[in-house]
Amino acid sequence: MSTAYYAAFHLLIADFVANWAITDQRARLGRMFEHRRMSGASFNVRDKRNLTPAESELQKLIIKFTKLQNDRYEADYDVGRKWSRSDVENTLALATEVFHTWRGIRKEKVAQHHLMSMFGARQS
Amino acid sequence: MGQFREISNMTASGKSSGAQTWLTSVRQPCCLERCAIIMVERRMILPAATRQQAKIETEVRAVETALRRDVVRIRYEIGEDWSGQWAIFFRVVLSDDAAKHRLRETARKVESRLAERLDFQELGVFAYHNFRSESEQSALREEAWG
Repeated sequence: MSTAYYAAFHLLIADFVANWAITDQRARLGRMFEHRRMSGASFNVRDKRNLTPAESELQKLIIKFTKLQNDRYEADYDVGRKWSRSDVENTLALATEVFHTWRGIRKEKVAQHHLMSMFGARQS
Repeated sequence: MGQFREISNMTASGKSSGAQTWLTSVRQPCCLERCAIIMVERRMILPAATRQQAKIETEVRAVETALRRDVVRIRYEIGEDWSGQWAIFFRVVLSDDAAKHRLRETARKVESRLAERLDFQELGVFAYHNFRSESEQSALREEAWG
């Protein structure tokens, strides 16, 4: 569970730091990301009732990422939590879907803006 | 030192942006020695979901019925997630056939049907869905899933 979450976590961070021109500093920049801030980043859209395809995909990705994050936390810290094979398989499938979705929208402005929000930058 | 006692019961203290604010506890240290009295106050904002349990129950049962072929039952509870945000945790028991042959497809259906009927944003909760098959539940025997 933890690996599934961290795969998604590093996928997003890697794309964010790739925008930083000084290669040597990318790892340090990546370590500035915080789990809580990433899931709590506000998702701003122009019209909530009429999402663009990219916004809609990004929204789905955020939901899946948040679920992965909670699963990872429970798997790592809640010793009383019992996991079934179905639950684990579903979580692994979510991580795979995060990768597919991200590949489709990573160049979109809204996706890049959301990475900034996950990093902690305020909306302008 | 360090021993606390409860000095007030739950008291409603008003509404704020659709959520009820409760003053859950006011505690003070009980000590015989001279010490500063420290008042600790914790405010809990309850999400709208806690006031709409009847609606949630109705809609969840409707989804359960609509997906009867693959869904055995849906249980849920409202609580805080790992980050302290309010959430609704759905526990979905699937038929063995659905879990084995079309897990993700069925999971997606459950997630989208619930989201169509319940506006989680309006309810002030994030929806988490967990799944297990009937035979997995028989082996694990967890009351919360029963």
